[in-house]
Amino acid sequence: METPIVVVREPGVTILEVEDLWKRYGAIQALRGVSFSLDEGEVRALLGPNGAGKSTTVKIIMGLVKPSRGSVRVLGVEATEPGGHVLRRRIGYMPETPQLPKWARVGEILEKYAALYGLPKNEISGAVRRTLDLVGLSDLRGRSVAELSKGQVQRLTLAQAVMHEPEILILDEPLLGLDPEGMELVRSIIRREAARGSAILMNTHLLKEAEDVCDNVTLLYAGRVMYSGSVEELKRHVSIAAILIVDVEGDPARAADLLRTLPYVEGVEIVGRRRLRVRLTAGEDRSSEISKTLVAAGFGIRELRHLEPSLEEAFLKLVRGGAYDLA
Amino acid sequence: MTWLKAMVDYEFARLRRKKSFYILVLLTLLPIVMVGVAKAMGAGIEYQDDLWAFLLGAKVNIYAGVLITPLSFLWIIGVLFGGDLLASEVEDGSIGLLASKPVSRLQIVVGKVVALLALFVIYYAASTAFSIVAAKAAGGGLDNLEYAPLILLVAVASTLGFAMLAACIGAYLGKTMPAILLSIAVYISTGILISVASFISVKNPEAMVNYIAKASMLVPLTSLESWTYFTYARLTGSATLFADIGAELLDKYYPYTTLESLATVAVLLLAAYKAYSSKDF
Repeated sequence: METPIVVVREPGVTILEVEDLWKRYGAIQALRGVSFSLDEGEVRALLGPNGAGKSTTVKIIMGLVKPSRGSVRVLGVEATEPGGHVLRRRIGYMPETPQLPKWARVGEILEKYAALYGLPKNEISGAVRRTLDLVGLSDLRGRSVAELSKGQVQRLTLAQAVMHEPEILILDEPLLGLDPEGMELVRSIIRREAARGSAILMNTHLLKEAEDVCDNVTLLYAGRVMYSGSVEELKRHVSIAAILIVDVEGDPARAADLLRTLPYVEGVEIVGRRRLRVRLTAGEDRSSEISKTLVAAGFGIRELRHLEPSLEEAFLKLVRGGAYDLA
Repeated sequence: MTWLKAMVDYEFARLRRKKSFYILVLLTLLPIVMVGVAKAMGAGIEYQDDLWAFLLGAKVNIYAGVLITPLSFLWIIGVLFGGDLLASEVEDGSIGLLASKPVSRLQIVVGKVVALLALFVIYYAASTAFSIVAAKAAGGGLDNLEYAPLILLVAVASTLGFAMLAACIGAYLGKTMPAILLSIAVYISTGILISVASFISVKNPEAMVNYIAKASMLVPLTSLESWTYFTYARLTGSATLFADIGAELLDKYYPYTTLESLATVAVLLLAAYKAYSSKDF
């Protein structure tokens, strides 16, 4: 019943191609022609707010959801066709809300999954031990999954995704609900897998998260790809990165008037007793020029920082650009 | 076939942790418990014709009064284990991780059904073994032991039939408890319908029993269960009325019943797979 798939690969080639995916759930059109690709060794974020279609996209890739239309090719082989399940041996997947079977013990469930991945019997024990070490759960090998904390479940779910050393790693909101230590662990594992040569697709709704660990980003909004490229390019493209928050010592109204005279300042709002919100026209960093101008005019500066643009702002900017019809 | 071994192993581990599994273990031991109770009651009278005669201390053999204990739970065991076979993981969300492994939906269903089949075989085999022990302990004989494989085969097939009914409903609904309750409702309402139809058709009590028995043999799933009981009655010679009817029915309907039952199990299995494979996880 198993179809052996032999794939000859060259370094740097595209190993995951998603083409024109459409998905409808009843009255809701979840995906509207999503296309992107993932190259070997690339770390790409699928970025978008809740309901953008990120989870639906990765579930289709994993064969958990059937697309209404479109195709997914893994290593050049169509994954949505019968027999495509064999390709999942090359993929590791961590769902957004990890639901491990409550009946199992920590080490036991990894052993069962390892067998399903087709790992040889004599390698399973070693793979489980190594993976539990990696995610810091070695001491809990005999514990019931039902007794784990949320963070421990998250780690165990990540462990089952990487234990068979996949060529493609798909992580759906992997940092959601983790404490800082857990977040750092996940980031380090992502970096480790990327260094090993895995291609990584990571769903996130946080631009900062994508910026920290990803090379490229595919921006989804209302089931459509709004942008595909590098994170820096995205920030330049939407040009909303240039919002500064400035806490001044002195009359904020006078400081606001002064800043409004600068050519690259689009607008200034007084948002607190001493706080100014300065919107700049371009994406370039103007913080040092703003600072110099204020200091030269006799103002003290308590704080000056970039305001991280929200994704909603980025999407609205893109949509208002007129190139996208969301009807 | 690595996937089959891995999938059966996975499913068997899951089945072992179910509360129903412990009920199954207790049922396996029931023949010994019941013979123990009978002995404690000091019974020593022979009632070979009575199905439950062993409770009064009848001459006990493997069938008469001992193996009937585990055989009495065919349909409820099937429903309890079938109801959550395909539904529970959808319900608790763990299907997402299982189905993301390199196994197709068909392989998941096949693996689960094979594991369930293995569990039923072990259950009935263990029941037979304990029945032999119980029969010997009660000073009874082991008459007709050569028929044990046949009885067990039909018992397993019958239990699997009810399990497939519940699994099929579970696959469509994606919920365990409604699947179990609906299957029980189907079983009970089938029995009521057969009885009512018999009551309307025949007034003579003895003829009615005969009519009910015949009708049961014609209804999918119920037919396998009836076949098991009649075969049991025929072999033991216990429960005269059922033995007589059973003998007649078995001779007359055996080929039809077997084919019909196998076809029903196959159709239910296919329907369960169809529902399961079309689901979005």
